[in-house]
Amino acid sequence: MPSGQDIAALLPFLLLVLGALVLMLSEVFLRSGGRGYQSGLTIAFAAAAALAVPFAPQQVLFGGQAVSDGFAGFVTMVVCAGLALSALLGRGWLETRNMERGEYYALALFGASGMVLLGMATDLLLAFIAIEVMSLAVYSLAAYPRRGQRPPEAAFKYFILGSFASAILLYGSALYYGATGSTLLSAMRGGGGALLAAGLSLILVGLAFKVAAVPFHAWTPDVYEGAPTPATAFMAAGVKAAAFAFLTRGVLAMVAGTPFAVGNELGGVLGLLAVLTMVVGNLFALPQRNVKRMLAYSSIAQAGYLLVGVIAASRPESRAQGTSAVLVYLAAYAVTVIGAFSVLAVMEKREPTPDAGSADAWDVSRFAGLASRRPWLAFAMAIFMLSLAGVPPTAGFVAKLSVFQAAAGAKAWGLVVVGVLTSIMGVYYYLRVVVAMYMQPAEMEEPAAAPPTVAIAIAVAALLVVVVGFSPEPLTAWARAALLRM
Amino acid sequence: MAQFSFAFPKPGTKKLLVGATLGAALAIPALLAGLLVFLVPMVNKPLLDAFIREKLGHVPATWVGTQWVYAAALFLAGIAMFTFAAITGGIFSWYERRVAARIQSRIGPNRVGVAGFLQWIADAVKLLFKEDLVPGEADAMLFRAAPYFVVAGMTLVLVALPAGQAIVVADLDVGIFYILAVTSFIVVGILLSGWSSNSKWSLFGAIRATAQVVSYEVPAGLAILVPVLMAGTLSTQGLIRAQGGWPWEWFFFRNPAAAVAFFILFISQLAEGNRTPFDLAEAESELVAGYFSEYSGFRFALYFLVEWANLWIIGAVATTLFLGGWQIPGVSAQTWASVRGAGSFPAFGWWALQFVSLGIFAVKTLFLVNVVIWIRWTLPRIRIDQMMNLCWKYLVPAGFAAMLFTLVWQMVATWAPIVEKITALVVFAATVWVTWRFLQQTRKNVSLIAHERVDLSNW
Amino acid sequence: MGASAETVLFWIFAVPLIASAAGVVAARNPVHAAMSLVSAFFWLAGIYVLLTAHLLAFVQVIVYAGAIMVLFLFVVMLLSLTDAELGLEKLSALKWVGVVGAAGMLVLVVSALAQSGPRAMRAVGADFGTVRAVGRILFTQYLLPFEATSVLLLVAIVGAVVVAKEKI
Repeated sequence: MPSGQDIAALLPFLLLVLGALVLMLSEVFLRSGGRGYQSGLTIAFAAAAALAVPFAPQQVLFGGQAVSDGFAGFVTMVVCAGLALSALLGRGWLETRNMERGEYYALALFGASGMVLLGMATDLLLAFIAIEVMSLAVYSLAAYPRRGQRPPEAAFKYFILGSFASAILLYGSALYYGATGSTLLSAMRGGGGALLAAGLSLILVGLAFKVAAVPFHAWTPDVYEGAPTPATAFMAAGVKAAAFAFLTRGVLAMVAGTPFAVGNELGGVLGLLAVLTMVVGNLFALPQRNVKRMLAYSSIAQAGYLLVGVIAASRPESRAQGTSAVLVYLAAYAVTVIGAFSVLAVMEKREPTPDAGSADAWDVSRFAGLASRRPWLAFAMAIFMLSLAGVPPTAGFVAKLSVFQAAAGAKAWGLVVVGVLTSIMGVYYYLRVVVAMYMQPAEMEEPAAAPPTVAIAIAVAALLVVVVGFSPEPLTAWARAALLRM
Repeated sequence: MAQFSFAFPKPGTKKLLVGATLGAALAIPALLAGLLVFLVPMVNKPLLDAFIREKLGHVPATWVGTQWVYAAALFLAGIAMFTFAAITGGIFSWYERRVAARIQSRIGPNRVGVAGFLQWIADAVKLLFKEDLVPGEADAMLFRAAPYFVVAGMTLVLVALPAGQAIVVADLDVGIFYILAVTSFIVVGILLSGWSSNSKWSLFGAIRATAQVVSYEVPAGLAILVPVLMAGTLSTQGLIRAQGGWPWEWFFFRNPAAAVAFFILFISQLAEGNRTPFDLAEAESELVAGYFSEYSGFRFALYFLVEWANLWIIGAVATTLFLGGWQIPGVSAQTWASVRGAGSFPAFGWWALQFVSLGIFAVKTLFLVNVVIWIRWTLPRIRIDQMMNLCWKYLVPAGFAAMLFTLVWQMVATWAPIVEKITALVVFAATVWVTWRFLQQTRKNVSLIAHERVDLSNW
Repeated sequence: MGASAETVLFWIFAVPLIASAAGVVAARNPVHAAMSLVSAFFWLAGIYVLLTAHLLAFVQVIVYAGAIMVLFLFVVMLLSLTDAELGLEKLSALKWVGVVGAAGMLVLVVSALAQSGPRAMRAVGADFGTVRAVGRILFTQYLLPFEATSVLLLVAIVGAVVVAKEKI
C-alpha cells in the first residue's frame, strides 16, 4: 500500500501534473483577458516542484519501480529549471506570434512530469510510461504552431522515429522480462545469458535514440530546426537530462548486476557510441551556417560527452566521479542551451511564415554585427557559445572538465583524447557565431528587441553560466552529494 | 369501457394451415427450451466426468476419449446456442413486422401460416436460393468475409450469456467484459462490409455505424460497471446470483443509480445494435441500406439474422445485469442445491426448476424485446450530431455520475443494509404506480381515438 | 484440460497467428494488412486464454481489435491509397536493407532464446489471471505505473487535440 511517504516523494511529479491540469482549465475559464499569467503559473509550478525536492523522503517507492534519491532530485531540479526558463522564453516567443495558449504550457508541464518520473524510474515499465509521457508532450509541442509545413513535418518525423524507438525499447524490455522475470532494473542480478544481452542492447538502442547518440541521431537536426524555438530549447534541455538520467541508472544497474561479461561488452558498445557521437556530431556541425541546425548537431555532440561521463560512472573506480560529472554536465548544458536558443528566438526571422526562406531564418549572417547594435544580447550569446565550446570560465568548461576528469579516473584515455580533440573541433563552429557578432559588419535589418520575459530568461541563463564558470564548487558539491540509490 | 373485437383464426382459414401454425408455434419454443435446458448444462466438467465414469465406464482422468467427450459436448452446446439464436432471430423478424404493421395500421405479413407466422421460414428459404452477388469493383475476399465477422460477434456473445440457473455455455470469470469484447467483432465486420463493397452508400453507412458503436461502447461500459460494482464480479451468473427473485431484490430497484444505469445501458444497446432511433447506419431514405446495400442472398440474410438475434441479446444482457436474471422468487441457492440432490446427475426436480428459471428469464427478456420493437416503430430517426451529443454530452457524464454514486451507495449499503431494502421497496412501489398510471392513461387514450372500440382483428 | 489438447489448441492459435502477422507485412493493400493485424490480435488473444490470462485476452480483443484497429481501419479506408502513393515501387534498395536487418534481428532473438534454453512451465495459482488477481496486482505492486498511465493517456488526448486543431 502506498504510504504518505510515497506520495511525498512523488510530490514534484504530482505538482507538475497538477500544474498541467490547472493550465488546461485556465484556458476554459480564464481566457477573456491576457495570457501573461499562464507562463507565470508554469514557473510557479516548476518552482513548487523544485522546492518539493529537498523535502522528498529518500526511499524506494511503491513496489520498487521508482526511487527518490539525490540523483533523481538533481534531475528534477534541472528539469524544473529548464521548464521555467523555457516558459519565460515561450511567453515572449508565442505572444509576439499571437499563438499563446494554455495548452502549450500544459504540454510543457506534462512533458516535465514525464521527465521527472523518468529520473526516478528504476523499472523498465515505469520508464517506458515516463518516456512516452515525455515524448508525446514533446511531439505535440514540436507540432504546436500549425503554420507552414515545417513544424508538422518536424513533429511527424519525430513522432514516427520516436515511436519506432519506443517499440524497440519495449521489445528489449520484453526480452529483459523473459530473461529475468521482472522489469525491475535490480532484477539483472538474477539473470544472465544471451537473452538478457539481447534485451539490454535493444533497450540501449531505444535510449540512444532519445538522447540522440550517433547511429540513432538522424531525427535531431530536422526536429530541432522545425520545432518552435522555445519547444526546441525545452526539448534539448529536458529530454536529454531525463533520458541520460535513466541511461545512467540503467548502465549502473547493469554493471552492478550482471554476473558475466554483458556489462563489459555493452561498456565497449557504449564507448563506440560515445566516440561516434562525438566525432559525427562535431563533424556535421562544422559546415552548418544555420545556427539552429548547428545547435542541433551540437546537442548530438554533447550527448557524446555525456556518454563519456556515463562510461566513467560505469567503472567502479570512478563511479561517484562519473555520476556527478554527468549531473554537472546536464545542468550546465540545460542552462546554456536554453540561453542560446533564447537568443536565437530573438534573432530569428519572424513573419510572415517561418518557412518561407527557411534556411536563412536562422542563418549565421543574421548575427553579423550584433555586438554593435545589441551589445548585451551579443555578449550573452558569446557566453553561451563559449560555454557550449567548453571554454573557461563558463559552466560548459566546468562540465567538460569534470567529465574528462572522470574518464581519466576510469583510465579511459582513448575517450579523453577523442573528447578533447572533438571539443577543439567544436570551438570552430561555435566561434563562427561569435566572430559574426563581433567582427562582421551588419547586413540585416535592425533585429527586433527581445521581449522582456525572453530578456529575463537570457539574463538568468547567462548569469548562471558565468557564476558556475567562476565558482563551480557549489554545483559540483551538490552533484557529488546527489548519490544514486539503486 | 372499450370493446375489444378479436377473431383468431379468421373465419375461413384452412384447417391444415391452422394446424401447421399451431404445431409450429408450440413445437418451436418447446424445442428451443429443450435444447437450452438439456444440452447447455452438459458443458460442465463434473457432469461430463460423471457421464464418462458412470455411463461409459471409464476413468475420466486417464481415458483417451475424455477430451473427445468434452469437445463433443462443447460442439453440441455451440450448435444449441446457434440454433437458438437463428430460430429466435427468425421469429422476431416475423413478430417485428407484425407489430410494425399493427402500429402503422396496416396488415403486415399474413400469407404463410395463420397470421403469417411461418413467413420467416419462407423468407429464409427464398434468400438461400437467391444469387449471391459480389459487385465487380468490390474487394471480393473481404466482401465475402465480412458477414462472418458480424455473425461471429453475435454468436460468441451467447457463450457467456445465461438463460437459466445452469443454462450458460461457459460461466466465465470475465463474463460481461467478454460480452463487451466479442461484440467488437461486429464493428469490424460492419466496417469491412462497408469498405469492401466499394459503394459510397456502404462506406457512409459503415463509417456512421463504426463511429456510433465505438462511441456508445463507452456509456455502455460505464453503465455495466454499476451492477458489477454492486455484485463484485464480472461473471454473468455471479451478477444474477447477487440479485434475488423478488423485484425488490433486483439491482434495478436496489440503487437509484442502477435504475439510471439501466436506461443508459438500454439506450447504448439500441445504438450499438443500430436500432431505431439510432439506425443512421442503415438509414434507408439516405443510404439505401447502409453498409449492406450491396449484399444479396444468403449473406444479406446473415445481416438480418444478426440484427434480430441481437434483440434477444439486448434483452438478455439488460435482464442479467439489472432485472434479476433467472432468479425464481422464493428459491434460494440452498433450494437449488437441495433439489439437485447428492447424486452425480441432478434429480428430476432440478430439471423442472431449470425450465422455470428459463421461463422467467425468457419472459423478462421478451418484455424488453417488445420495448425495443415499440421504440423502433414509434420514434423517428435522430440526426447524427444529436446521436453523438446524446452519447458524449449526456450518457457518458450520467454514466460516470451513476458509477460514482454507486461507489458511495455501496458503502452506505454495507454500513446500513436497511437503507438499501427501504430504497428498493420505495422504488419498486413507485415503479408499479407509474406503470399503473401509464396503463390507465394509455387505455383512456385508446378509447378516445378508437371510439370505444379497439380493433384487434388483423391479429 | 489435458496437456495434449492444450498443445493442439496452441498450434491452432499459433500457426494462424504467425500467418496473419506475416500477412501484415506482406499484404500490398493497406486494408488487407490492417485486417491481418486484427486477426493476429484475435489469435494472440487465444494464446492468452491458453495461458489462463482470460482478462488480458479480452482486454486485448476489446482494446486492440475493437477500438484501436477499428479506428486504424477507419483512417486507412478513408485514405484509400494507391500503390503509387504508397511509394511501393521505389523502395527496392531500402527494402533489402530492411530484410537484412529484420533477418539479423530474427537470428539474434532466436539464438538468444536457443541459448537460454527451454524452461519449465511455472504452476500458477487457481486465481491466476482472474479479474481479482489482476486488479490486486495493479493496485498494489504496479500502482505507480498504473496511475502514471492515466497521465500518459491525458497527454495523448491533449497532444492530439493540439495537433489536430485547424489553427491556434
